[in-house]
Amino acid sequence: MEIFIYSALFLFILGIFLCLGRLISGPTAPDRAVAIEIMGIILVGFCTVISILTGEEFYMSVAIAWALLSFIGSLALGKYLEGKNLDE
Amino acid sequence: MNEYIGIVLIAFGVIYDLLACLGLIRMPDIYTRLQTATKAVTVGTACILIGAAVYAGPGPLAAKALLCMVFVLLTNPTSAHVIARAAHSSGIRVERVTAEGLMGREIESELWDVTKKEDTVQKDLLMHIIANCSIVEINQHVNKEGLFELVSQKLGHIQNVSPDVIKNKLISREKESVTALKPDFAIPHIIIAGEDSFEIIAIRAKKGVFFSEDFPAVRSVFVMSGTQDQWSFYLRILALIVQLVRTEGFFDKWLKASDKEELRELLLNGIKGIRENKN
Repeated sequence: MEIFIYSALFLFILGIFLCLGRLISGPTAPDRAVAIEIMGIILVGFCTVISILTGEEFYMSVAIAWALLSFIGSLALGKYLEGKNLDE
Repeated sequence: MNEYIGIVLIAFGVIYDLLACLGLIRMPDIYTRLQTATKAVTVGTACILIGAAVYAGPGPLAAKALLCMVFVLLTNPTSAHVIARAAHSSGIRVERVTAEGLMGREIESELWDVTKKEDTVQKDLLMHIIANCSIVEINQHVNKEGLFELVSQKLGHIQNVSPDVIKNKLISREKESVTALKPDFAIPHIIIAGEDSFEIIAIRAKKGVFFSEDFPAVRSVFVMSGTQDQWSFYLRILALIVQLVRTEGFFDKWLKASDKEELRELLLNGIKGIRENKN
């Protein structure tokens, strides 16, 4: 059973590297924002899988926090890219 | 058993996530990247979280996983939307990358078909208008005022406008410039108020209508009256009529035709002939 979990972790890392590739190659700022957002969500999945691998629910809390923070980060990035202040 | 279901759900979610990342690399522009990546990642991660909840069984871990799933389902589409809007308002265009099969001839021929179809519809409308127009025969000498009187009575009845208005419009149009043309036909035309109405009256005057010194005996008159929005018909019909009266032997047939239906036949056949020549 554990082999499945480990291969899932491997595939997650592969996905994160693909996102990093897009993050580096761009070419525009919104492209990079999308890459960061996708990476955040994949890290949520990663944390979940680690949490069931170790049986620690602490990693689940990390996943929740990461999901919310990546959401807030995307909102802020979106506002910034639109060229507006955060209170507009 | 629960473990197996959980593993299957997690495997499904992981494959979804990986495909989303692949889409992020493969797609040509920001909008398609958003489209492939965020949707697939939302579903994939939600699947993983449900899988984790099923795998762990009832307990705090499952509760947190479901809570996290709700967050992901709510926040991820929102942030995708925000990024798409930001990309749009910062002026990033959609990349024009289409599959090879869609470029070149196929799309061109499709567009061509569409325009041709619309053209036929317009043509059928023209035919319909002419097939239903009223035809008037005048056998005695009249001047143009008499003609306008008669026409305005008829048009007023068909188009539900007061005949005096039509008559005044025809007369003032005639004052601007004479609507009679060589050889031997006249095309008085007016714009009336309202919308969605176009009428044409074909008149045969065997003894001629006096229009002006230059045109003492006009033997065929086509009166057109339409609303502003139907004005393209006027130009099309005008072009057809000019071609029609220039075809050889038209006036002979026009004068020889025995009754109104024969005149209408003559007009329709003439127009068909012109179109076939064009094609």
